[in-house]
Amino acid sequence: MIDYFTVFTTGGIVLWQKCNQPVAAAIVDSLVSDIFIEERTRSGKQSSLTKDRYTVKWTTANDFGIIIVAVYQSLLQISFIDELLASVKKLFTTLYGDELTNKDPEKLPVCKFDDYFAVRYAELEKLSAGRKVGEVSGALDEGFGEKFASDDESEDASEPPSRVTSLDSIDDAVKAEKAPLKKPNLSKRGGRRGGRGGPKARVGRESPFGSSGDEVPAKKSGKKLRKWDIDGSARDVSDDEGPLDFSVSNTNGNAAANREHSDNLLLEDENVENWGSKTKSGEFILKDLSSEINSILAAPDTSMMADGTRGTSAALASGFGFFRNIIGNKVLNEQDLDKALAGMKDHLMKKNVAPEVAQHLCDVVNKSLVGTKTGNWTSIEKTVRAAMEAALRKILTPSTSVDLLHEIQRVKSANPPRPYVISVVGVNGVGKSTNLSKIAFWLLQNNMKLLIAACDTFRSGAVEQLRVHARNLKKLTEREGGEIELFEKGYGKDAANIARDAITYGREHGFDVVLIDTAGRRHNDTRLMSSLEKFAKYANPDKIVMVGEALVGTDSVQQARNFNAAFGPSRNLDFFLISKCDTVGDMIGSMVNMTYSTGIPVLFVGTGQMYTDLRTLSVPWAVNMLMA
Amino acid sequence: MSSPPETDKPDPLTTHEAMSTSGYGFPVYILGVGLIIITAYFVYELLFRKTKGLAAGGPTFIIAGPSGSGKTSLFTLLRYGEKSTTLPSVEQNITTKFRLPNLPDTAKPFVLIDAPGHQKLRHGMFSALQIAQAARTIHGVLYLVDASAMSRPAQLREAAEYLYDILRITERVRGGTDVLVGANKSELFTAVPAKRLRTLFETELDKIRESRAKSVGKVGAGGDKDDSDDGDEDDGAVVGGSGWLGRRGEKGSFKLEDLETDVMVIDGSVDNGKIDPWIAWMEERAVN
Repeated sequence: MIDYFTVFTTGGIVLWQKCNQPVAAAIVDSLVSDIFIEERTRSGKQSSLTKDRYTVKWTTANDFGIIIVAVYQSLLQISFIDELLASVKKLFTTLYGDELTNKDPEKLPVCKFDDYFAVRYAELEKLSAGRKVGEVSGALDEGFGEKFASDDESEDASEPPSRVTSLDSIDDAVKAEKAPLKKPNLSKRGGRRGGRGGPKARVGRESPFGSSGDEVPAKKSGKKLRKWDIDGSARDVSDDEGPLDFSVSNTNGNAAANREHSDNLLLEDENVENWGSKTKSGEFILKDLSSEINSILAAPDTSMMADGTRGTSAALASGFGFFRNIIGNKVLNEQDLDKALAGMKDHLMKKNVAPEVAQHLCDVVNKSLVGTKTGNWTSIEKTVRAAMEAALRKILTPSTSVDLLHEIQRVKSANPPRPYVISVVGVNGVGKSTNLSKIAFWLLQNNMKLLIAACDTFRSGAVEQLRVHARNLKKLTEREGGEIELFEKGYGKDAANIARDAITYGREHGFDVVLIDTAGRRHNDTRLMSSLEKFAKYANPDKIVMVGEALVGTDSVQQARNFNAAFGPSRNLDFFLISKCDTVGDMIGSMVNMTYSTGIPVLFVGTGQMYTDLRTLSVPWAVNMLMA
Repeated sequence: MSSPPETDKPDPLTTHEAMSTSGYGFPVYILGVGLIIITAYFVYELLFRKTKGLAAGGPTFIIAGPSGSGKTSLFTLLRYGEKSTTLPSVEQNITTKFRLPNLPDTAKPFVLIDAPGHQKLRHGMFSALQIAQAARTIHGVLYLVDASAMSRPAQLREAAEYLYDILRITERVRGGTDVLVGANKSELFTAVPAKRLRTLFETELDKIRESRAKSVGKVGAGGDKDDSDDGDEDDGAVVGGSGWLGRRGEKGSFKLEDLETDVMVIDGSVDNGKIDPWIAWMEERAVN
């Protein structure tokens, strides 16, 4: 059972919601913000997310500006959820589309969707129940150790999913061994899937049902009612031949089946209002909701019209084909966007953005622009450019702002006082030690007492390098009152232990900040990456900074991902520091790569090799660089 | 007979003229008609466009604030008269037909913008504010906060940082844009009252400006990290600059009165519909 189902506008106004189980508002809010704002779901086309104990599935209708979300417990496996979302989208847009296209209505759109939803949900539930029973019977088949011929999935569409058929197949399965092809295909297909192991089959069930969503309308029309003639022969009747007559006197041969069928209809729509409406004269007219739903779902997709030829201005514009691009006010479709986006993708890749990231950005822009109108006097290129700038800005802007000085003050004034621990990690040669000393210089300018822990026990000269840095910084900031000290234990020892000892030393001697330098390691070297988890556990740093160089190419995506995952399940990187930005000019795409792949913001940017060459990232600057 | 001798033989001059007029005339005629059609179309577009851009819009109020403070609820309450259930906004809600209840119907309708509160989406609000300030159509900013969450330091800090960024923009205009800090959800038990909220914000804003002044400079802004003066007035780096707010050189004594922007803090409750003080504030700002 779906706990929470809602349709809401992109502006946040809930148009309709159905709440079967109370879901904490905080959870829904965080889910919405994770999915639509922070875009945490990057795994391909999958539109589902699991967080806490809930799974969320959604779909959007950009031209109407609505989002449809279903939240249910992760333990449940609701197989028809994709179909449900698709049909709700179609129904909603058909029923309330006119109201929704008006972006500035006079009153809130009222959407009485409860009945439609209940009917559709019941239909789909019954359908999937029919399929499920088919699978169960198939599992029994498999128990006899038989392999079934693989059937075409599309054949399933022609089969009426009635329970009667499935029961027959169970009987047959139990009775004798038989040639699989002679039997109804339903059970066989289910058997093949059911035989693969119970729980696994349930997971695999998701995708076939996604594809058969298109077949549902056809299936609905193929559902054959059965009418019994006066001579006792059965006659299959299609929907439009009128409703079955449920009066007892009419039926003869199969009164039991008819009564069962009528019982089913009664159970479906317990709400009397669904059955019809009163006319002005007080007569009660029967209304068949399910047939209305079916007709809407079966209607061709009108929203995919290429030109939004609405209004006289658009009609005028259609005459001026060439001018439409210049004048604007054109409804965008896939072809228009493809060319512009291809050019945009090349442009981004020239700026050192990884192909995967550039593709994702183009997809995001595509999805957000399809079906919308260009503004006045804006060409398609300009619109695409503006959308791309917005997408880049959204990726680069952090979700929460980090104010290091404030946090250090907060930790310093806590009781008992403890040092604030910052550690830097990264692959070999990106500039960890150099940038660490830049951060140290800045903190010293703010009168902090610093301890540098040399946890790079592997590379020759690492400890000496830090000693030189500490000496320089001490000389530079003596007058301003900063204090800096180096904590080192030589080479060859375990970095995690040294880190822990350094923090203890720092606490004892009242240091404000402990900066830990670690050894560079390749992100695909599992042995070295695994030692990071121990390091994080022992040192428990307040901030883990990953230093990435701006010169790195496509590797940055994988680097960021591996480092992010290296600290164990409960700990992530805190922010990135992109070094050597002065060497790349405007090709700062690696910034985008790293933030895209992990969702972690870039805080600092290294712009040189002196102690003062440290800057914070300015998102407008970065976007300008990338789009110039 | 005074038959003109020209009729005997074709006069070279007239035929030449005739030829020349017919030679130039026809394409020119077509061009002229074409130009008329095109200009007529453009004029039609300009005059009868239904949806004008934001800059051409009328007097504007902007609703901003951190996530979850009730901005979209307030928007629906003000615009439609009824409060709707809401979820986090992903896009702005804009209406160009907002009418204040106590103003006469002949007054111009307002543009009301409800900007999403999530940090990634704040840029839209900043740019809308800047455009409206440049066009002098901005009449006020309603900064909504969840008063019950302001007792927690992390939330207070976030709200103060957003307010700081807004004030940095409003301070740029002479006279400043009026800002109303609406303490929403004041019916809750843990809600911080308006007076106390004002002092809390002042302390936080003071700490923020200290912190910003001491932080590393922004990339691309030029100069070393001591450029707390010019901040980021140039194009591009707009917000989060290390610009100083209020009177110079005084630490620990930031007061909202020092600013050019007129900041008021008023309690209210969208849930209970108690937003009359806010409406009164808006009406005061609507006239001038």
